[in-house]
Amino acid sequence: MNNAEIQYIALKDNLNRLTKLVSGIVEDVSVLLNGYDEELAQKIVTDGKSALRLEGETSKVCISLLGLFEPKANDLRYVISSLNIVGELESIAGYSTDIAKEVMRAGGPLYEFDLKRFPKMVKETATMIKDSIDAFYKCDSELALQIIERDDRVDRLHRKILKKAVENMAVFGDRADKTVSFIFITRCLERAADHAVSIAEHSYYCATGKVIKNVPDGEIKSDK
Amino acid sequence: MSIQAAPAEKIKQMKDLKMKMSVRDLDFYYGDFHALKNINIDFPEKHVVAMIGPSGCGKSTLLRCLNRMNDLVPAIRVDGQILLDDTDIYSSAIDVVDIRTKVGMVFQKPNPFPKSIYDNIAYAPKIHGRVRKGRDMDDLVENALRKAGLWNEVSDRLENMATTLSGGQQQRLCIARAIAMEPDVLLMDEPASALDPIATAKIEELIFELKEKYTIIIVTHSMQQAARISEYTSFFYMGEMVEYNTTEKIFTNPDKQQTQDYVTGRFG
Repeated sequence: MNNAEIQYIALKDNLNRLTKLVSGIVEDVSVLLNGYDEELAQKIVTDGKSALRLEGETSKVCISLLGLFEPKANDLRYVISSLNIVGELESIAGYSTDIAKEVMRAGGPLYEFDLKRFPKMVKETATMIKDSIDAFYKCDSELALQIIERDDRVDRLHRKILKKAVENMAVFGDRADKTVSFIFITRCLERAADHAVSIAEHSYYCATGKVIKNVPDGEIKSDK
Repeated sequence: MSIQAAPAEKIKQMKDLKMKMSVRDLDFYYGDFHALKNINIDFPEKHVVAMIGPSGCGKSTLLRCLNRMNDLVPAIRVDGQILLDDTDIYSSAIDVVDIRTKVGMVFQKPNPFPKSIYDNIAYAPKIHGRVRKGRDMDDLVENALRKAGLWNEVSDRLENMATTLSGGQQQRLCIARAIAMEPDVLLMDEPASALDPIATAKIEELIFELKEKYTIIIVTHSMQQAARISEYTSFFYMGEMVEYNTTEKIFTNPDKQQTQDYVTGRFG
């Protein structure tokens, strides 16, 4: 085994650990937002710190591979995508940590502010993150494009939840502080979904070699 | 699903370009050895095309076919056509010397004549009767050295022996010598492989500038070099051309598995 192969194995290993860790954090956030569990919130914060460390280590491996081995073709795409994806995963872990801290600050469950749309938003965001990671590992460009489309649903839910929350704040002034926490959390979820979209875009690049970030929707067309 | 990706660079599609040289159904034999097998490739005018592949794949053989350098090798056989501006250079009516003035060549190791810097440039134009001597020849020498980015370094010592120059300067002198004959095409066989990184960078800068005027075909073992300087890259393996595409495509997302394996270093 040569040095480059050792580095690629290290990259894959780090990436596996990071994706597993972030996937676990996202699952924990979903559970946390269905109730109130301070211990779970603390665990999310701790895991978030681990994700941050692992992101740094993985980025270093990517930079080392780029600098020392000048990867080409599928290797180049894999390293570039990995470097970008670990950044996105770190951001998702960051938003999850923010959510956990806000839940602890609120000191009680927040889902009751919108029993209809909020659980949907939590589920949709978590599924997008899980699927974007799957799209990367399976080199599934179709799934990657589906995830990008699904972001609109999360954005719509976010807007509706926000509108209702603001209305409620006007009516129930005594719950204003908790409503602000709720609004903050939905914003974090919406941003986390945006990072899932970015992972999907990097996954698409890794699978096909085509850059779709910031390409207008109209230029993405189906062969079928 | 497919996507119209944002163009990374504005390389014209090859079909829209004027071709300077074209190889048609070329087979080449060293005795019984079938060195090139049914090669078909077009070289667009005023572009740089890199030919890559493992040792023995036939890329240098093809390069030498392009100005009939292989004619000097015994027991060779060439089938097919190589067109320079639609004229078959292997046609019996063609003057080989004339072809070599139109298709210049720079070799792996700098090979200046054991003459002065000035005479290295002046030699070929003089024997071909392009320019005799005097002011016209001075202008020709200066012009060629300027184009090769060497004038500022040697203008005060043109009578010095060319062999006193550094390796990188000697190679640029050889390029100046080739372009002194105003060729249409420049063939380069690993022109920087014997040079240090600074001299290599100068040669690469020079190639980048020269493509404004010349069609350049370069054989290189350095994939980074091919990626840096060429617009199109062809990959050869065992006498066959496996893939030919834009350099960006070849190095980021090649169509053929063999190309992928070679550019990623997993080959053979």
